[in-house]
Amino acid sequence: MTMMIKKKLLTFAHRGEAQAFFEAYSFKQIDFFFDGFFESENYYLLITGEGPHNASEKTISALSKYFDSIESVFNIGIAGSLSKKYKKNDLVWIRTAFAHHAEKLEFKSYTSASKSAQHDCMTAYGRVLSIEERIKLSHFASIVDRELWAVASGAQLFKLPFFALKIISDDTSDAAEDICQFVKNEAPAFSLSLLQEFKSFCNHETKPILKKTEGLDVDLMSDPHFYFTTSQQRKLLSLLQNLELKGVDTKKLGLQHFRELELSPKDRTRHLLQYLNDELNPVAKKIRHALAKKLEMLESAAIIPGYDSDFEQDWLQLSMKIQSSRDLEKIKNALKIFSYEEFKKVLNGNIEGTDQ
Amino acid sequence: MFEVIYIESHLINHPRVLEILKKFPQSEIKEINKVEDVFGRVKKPYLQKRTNLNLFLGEKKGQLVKLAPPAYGLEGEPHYYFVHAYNCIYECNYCYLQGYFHSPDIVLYINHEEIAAEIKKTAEDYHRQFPNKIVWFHAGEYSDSLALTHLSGELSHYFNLFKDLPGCNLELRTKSVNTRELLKESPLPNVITSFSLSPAHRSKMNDLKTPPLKNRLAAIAELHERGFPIGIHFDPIIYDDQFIESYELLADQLLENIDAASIRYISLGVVRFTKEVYQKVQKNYPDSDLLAQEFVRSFDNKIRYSRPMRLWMLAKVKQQLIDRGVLASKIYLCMEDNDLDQAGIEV
Repeated sequence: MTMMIKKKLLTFAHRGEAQAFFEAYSFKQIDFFFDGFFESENYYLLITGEGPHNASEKTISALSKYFDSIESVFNIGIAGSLSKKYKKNDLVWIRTAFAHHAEKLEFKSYTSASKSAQHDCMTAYGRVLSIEERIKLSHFASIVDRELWAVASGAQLFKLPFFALKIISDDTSDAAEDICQFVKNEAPAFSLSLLQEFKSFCNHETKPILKKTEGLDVDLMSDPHFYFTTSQQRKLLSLLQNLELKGVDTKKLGLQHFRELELSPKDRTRHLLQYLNDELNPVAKKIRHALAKKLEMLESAAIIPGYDSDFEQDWLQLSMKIQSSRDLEKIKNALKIFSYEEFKKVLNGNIEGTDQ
Repeated sequence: MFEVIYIESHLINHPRVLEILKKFPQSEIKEINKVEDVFGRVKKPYLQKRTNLNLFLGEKKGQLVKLAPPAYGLEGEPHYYFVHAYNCIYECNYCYLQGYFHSPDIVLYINHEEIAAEIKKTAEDYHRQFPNKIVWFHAGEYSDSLALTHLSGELSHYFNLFKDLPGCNLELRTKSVNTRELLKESPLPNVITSFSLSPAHRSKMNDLKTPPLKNRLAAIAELHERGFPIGIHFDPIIYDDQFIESYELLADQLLENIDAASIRYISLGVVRFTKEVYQKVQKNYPDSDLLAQEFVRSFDNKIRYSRPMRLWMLAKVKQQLIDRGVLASKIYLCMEDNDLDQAGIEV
């Protein structure tokens, strides 16, 4: 069996911004619904075209088809400055992407997976040309572009981490520069800077550390001595993770002895989950024992009690089957000595003195 | 501390604003029309407060004094809160503010005279109907009541006001030890400084960036010695395997610094979240043991420990306090549906 290597999806608005990447990696055109989608050994490269609508459509289309083989999404390219703190050619990793559309701010924002990024970017649906507009947008972000928010929303839709690398193409004074002219004239140098920064990022990228539970849950779930339903699988994973959060080394819990129990796989699984639950929360164990004690006389008369599994509501439902007068007498006697108030006390936290 | 300070244009020359600006010469200043034009207009991630915290200075408009939710304070008395600030410099990982304003930036409202007038009006309206009842006002519903008082400068306004409102109590709720401004005032019997306390290890794990327990206890001791009334909140109580021992120790430590008879009240509350805040906590603090326990949707749709568990915890802590000489009548449960007595728990 071969393991699929996941790739990074690199998105650019214009081919000019991506030209150094084309030269560095051997991209081949993918036969897709539109032009501008390429693949190399480790990357996909998508030319989205300018503006959020194009960026959104093309990013989502590409992710729909290839998300299984994509580990993260990058938006790379030029951006304008809304603050005096940047100068032309500054390279900036973006922290949070905001958007401004038709005179209104989009409430939703998307935060990149880059831990060290400290600059926010406003994606504008139209070109930001006037000083007034720039001042208004500068209250929310110090960088402006035309695609990032849309690319990030696509990544979010597919639950993929996104990163954004921008190079400052202008300062606040030369906002009206023609983007086409810019791409033609200055793109090669900008693209090269972006590539160098991107390569440096990839060299320092740390792979996520696998959680310790990873493996243990898989071992248990694939062990034929157990039988897990889908919800029990979720429960197992959640219990193991929560025990780890509590500082318990789950590998040392000695769960293997549950394999030896003289029970069916389903019952072994139930016991295993109960044990993990009790390890996680000893008070829950006390509550369970206290309730069992209050209800034991009912159960001994074959009355099956039911109650709110979250213990929030005061009710008790009893079900019973009467097949003889003797059964009826047993039930009557059990109900005579059963105290609903005592049962309610347990729901109200009176769980001391009933521990086993 | 603040990367950008946003100021409502009409306040740009306000003496309080000028005082604040003097303290942050490095911050970029931006004039805005209204706080609401910028604050909360886009979703700014909560944890961005670690690297990029901004300050807004404005005037609070709209409803300045609001009725507090049930079980907010001591039973049988009306409770109101007033809003003079949004957000907090601390980072408690259970805090509901992470899901409330959609921005961690600090807002300080400086129209304390208007807020004070509204408090006075609310108190007078209430006392016309119920002249003998104490009315409570709480600061710090959306912020820490002391942490930024050296900037916000509101304490003198409220001490002046409550000096003339003997039928009203003011609660200043805090985790801070920033008592410098408070100590400039003369203590009033109806202005109570209340400290939220947790066992030292929990405080370290959950009350991020707050002063450690021993400093808070020292602040309590000093204020008490200087005659300031003290209230205590053991809230939120978080379960872990050392829960019983750590709350016993906390009660002992508290009573080493202030005698039981001098504490005006102690509130107890178990950790709880709205669904939105619970999701934020999961997102912001995935490695915290805070969420390791099982939670359920409780009577008011908030996410809590199961009812038997939280009532057992509350009864335990209440008993520990009673055993150490705190009167049961001074202890109340915060934001809980059942009182322990009503629940049939003998404490």
